[in-house]
Amino acid sequence: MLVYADNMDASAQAMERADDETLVIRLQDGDIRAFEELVARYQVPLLAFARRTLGDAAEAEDVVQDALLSLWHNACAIREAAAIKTWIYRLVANGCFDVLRQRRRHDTTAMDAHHLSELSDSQSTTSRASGSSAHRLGFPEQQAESNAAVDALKAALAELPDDQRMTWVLFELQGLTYDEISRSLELTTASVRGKIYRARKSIATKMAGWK
Amino acid sequence: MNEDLTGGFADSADRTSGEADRASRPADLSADAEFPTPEEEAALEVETQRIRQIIDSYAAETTPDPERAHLLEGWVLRVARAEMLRGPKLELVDESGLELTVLVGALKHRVRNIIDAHPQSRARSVSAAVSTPAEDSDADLCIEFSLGIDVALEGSAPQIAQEIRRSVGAAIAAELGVPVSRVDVLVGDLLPPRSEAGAEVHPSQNLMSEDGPTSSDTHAADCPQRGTATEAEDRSDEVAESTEPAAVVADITRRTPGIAGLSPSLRDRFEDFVRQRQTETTTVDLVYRGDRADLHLDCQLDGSRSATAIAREIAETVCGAVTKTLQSDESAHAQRRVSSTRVRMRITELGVEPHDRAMPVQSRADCACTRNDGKDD
Repeated sequence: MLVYADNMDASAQAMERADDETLVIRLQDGDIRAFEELVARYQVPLLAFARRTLGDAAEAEDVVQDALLSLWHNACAIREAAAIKTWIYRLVANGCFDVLRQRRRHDTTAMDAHHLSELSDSQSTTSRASGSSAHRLGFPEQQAESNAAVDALKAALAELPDDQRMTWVLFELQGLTYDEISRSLELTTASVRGKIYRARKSIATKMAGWK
Repeated sequence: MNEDLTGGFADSADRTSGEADRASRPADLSADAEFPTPEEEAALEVETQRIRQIIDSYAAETTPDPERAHLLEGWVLRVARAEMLRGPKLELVDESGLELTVLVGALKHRVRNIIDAHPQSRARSVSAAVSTPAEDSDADLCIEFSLGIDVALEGSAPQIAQEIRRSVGAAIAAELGVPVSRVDVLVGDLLPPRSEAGAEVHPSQNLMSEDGPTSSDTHAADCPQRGTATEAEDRSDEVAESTEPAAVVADITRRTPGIAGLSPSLRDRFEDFVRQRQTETTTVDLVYRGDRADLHLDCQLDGSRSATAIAREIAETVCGAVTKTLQSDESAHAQRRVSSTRVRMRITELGVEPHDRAMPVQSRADCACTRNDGKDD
């Protein structure tokens, strides 16, 4: 007979050590601890991705919430357990596209720019208070300049086509590889390279005066 | 939803698969017209690094607020847990003949814990089914398990499987009072080595139980352990206010023959008796609702008292005592006889070991003593 050293938390500890593939296999078997661990691993990066794509924190939360519940409900549809990362990013990417399409359907001219500038206004107080390097330095001029530079980047991003912005965010900010982006967005790797190139080119042009 | 339904956004030239509905997605029509040379990519990389600090500031600004992320996580997990409670159940009969209904999810959770607690194994899949016991057994029903596990490279797979088989059988029999007829173990993968010495184990080595070959499968055909998405949406308000604990909940219902009834003059005696049952780890409250006397029992399962023991104590001891009291009390209404006693238990975790008392898990049992004449006292 075995002695259970830490029976209560044995599964929780096993989940922390487990790789994504194991977590998905256990999730497909209905293991809620595996689901908890997957949510803990992916929730924040997915939220960041959706927010950077949509420029709206509340809409990003809705999209990620739907994606995580889809993961719970449809885990058995995941055919390649090791590819959970690209599978879940694909769910969020498509949720973002649905939101962007709905915006256009409601005839919101320059909605992306509007959302991003709105985000810029609302976030300025909180995030800069806790964060940017200029603020930490404590020089008001530098902080103002930094704010203006970030706003310029936001404007440049807002003017990008949705697919270019999404691939740029996945590559530059989320740290996905070309291959992962291609699988997440169901594109060829060459196409991903092309979109990132054009996005970088456009941003570089618009940010020429900044450094 | 499956992978084919997740959509995409690119134009046809970009797609790795060509679903028609993608046409409605925004398309970059110049997708193939402009591919960069390595030199052009390198030049843009330099440009990007030039504004790297600005990009980093933007990334910091758009990092999710941890508090909001925590709220979202909590909501999603509450939905998932609520759906688990509506999952399939096993209808069992324990060794004393009491009916017992156990949530399959809770049963699997318990078995996974046993496997994960073994230092050389980790659970992959668990399936449980009711089976017919052997002819020489007194039990009416048995449970059989098929387990998919990963084992440590340095471990002896047959030995690990045998230890797990014994542990699962002993735990389930002790906690639910239902014998385990067989436990098939399928080794799915090898865990990273933890020591240099050890026997090599081949993946997918099938370790059959003594009873015969296994039919276990590490991939479920669907997700039968969960309630439906529609059910979850229907109950979204309820879920939002749910205070269910993090642990998987076992929903155990027991029915046992019995006679119980309460006249106003017997309430004091009944309450006295109930209070006597109160222990360090158990508190009991009485709530009267019309002709029902509901017994609310909060208890911690500490390993020394199983779910079976607690349910039996309520069903047989407490309500049995009331019956005796009724029979011995001349003021009781003899004609008021109750056909059955129903004890409903909700246990937040099975098999909590004694050393986990620092984090007690609350359980709740409702004992409804109902008269069959339907009259109020």
